[in-house]
Amino acid sequence: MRGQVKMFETVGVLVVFFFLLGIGSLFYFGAQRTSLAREQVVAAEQQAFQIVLKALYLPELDCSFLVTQKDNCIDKLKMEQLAKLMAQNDNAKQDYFAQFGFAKITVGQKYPVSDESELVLYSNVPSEIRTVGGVEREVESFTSRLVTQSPILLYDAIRDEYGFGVIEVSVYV
Amino acid sequence: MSKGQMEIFGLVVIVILLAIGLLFAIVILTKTPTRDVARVKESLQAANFLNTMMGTTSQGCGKRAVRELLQDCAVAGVDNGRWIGASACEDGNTCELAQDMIQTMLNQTLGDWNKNYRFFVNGTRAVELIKVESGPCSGEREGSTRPEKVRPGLDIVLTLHICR
Repeated sequence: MRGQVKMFETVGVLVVFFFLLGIGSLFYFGAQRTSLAREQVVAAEQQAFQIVLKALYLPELDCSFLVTQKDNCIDKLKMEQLAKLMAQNDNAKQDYFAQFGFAKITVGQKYPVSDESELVLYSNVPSEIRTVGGVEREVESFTSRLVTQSPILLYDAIRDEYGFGVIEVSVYV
Repeated sequence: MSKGQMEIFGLVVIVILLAIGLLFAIVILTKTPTRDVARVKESLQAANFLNTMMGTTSQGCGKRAVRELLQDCAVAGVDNGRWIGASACEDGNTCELAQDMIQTMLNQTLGDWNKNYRFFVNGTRAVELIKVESGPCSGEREGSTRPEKVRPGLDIVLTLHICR
């Protein structure tokens, strides 16, 4: 009888021990998962921010006068040509992929208010081929989209005027 | 229940409480400050806004930039809350045009992005009348301040706060 009680006690201790171990690991792995997800978001935000800075200081688009570069400025004529090149030439888009990765960069003028729609400077949205209803289709494939906007000067070399614009960078992760 | 069992039960309760406390401490200590990137972004946005705005060419005032409009406005007088002596433009004076342009630009950017903001200028009585704000701005905020020279010995300071 005493032996049975001892054994019952030992089993009880083991049950409590494993129960505590289970609860502890549940908490620990939960906390780790949350922390990892948070770090992933922060890393993606930092990457998006870096792409914005790269886009803001692209030497291909800068407003330079007598070898002096104007801060925070894009030359509209250069921008239109680059956008055209990106849309028509896949090799050019491939070259810029190393800089921008999966992202979309658009520029829009806010003052003077213009009817022109936003200009897509670069667009590379991750996609995959999926079979929908027996038909293969290319569908966009990303978990989240981080959008960053920044005001920018738009130089019109023909009129010699500076407009107020916004550059929007969407990074796909 | 014997005395020994009671003691063991008490010890188990203490251990459980300690373990829970420790886990909470770990979770709080390992918390990454996710707002950091957002703060830097907003601060840069405010600085870029002021920089860009100052260089924007006006419409209807001899292609003057906002910087020049504000420099002209800074030396104007104020009477009964109205500007007097500021240079005339096609539609009002330099102070009115500067205020209109700043309002439009803020509306089209921070307004569209659903952010509250407060813009104001310090330095002279005339420029201190230029104020643009949207929504409450009493809590945490990021922003930028930019001094601008009007003439030797006279500076104005532009401030933009992006509020949360």
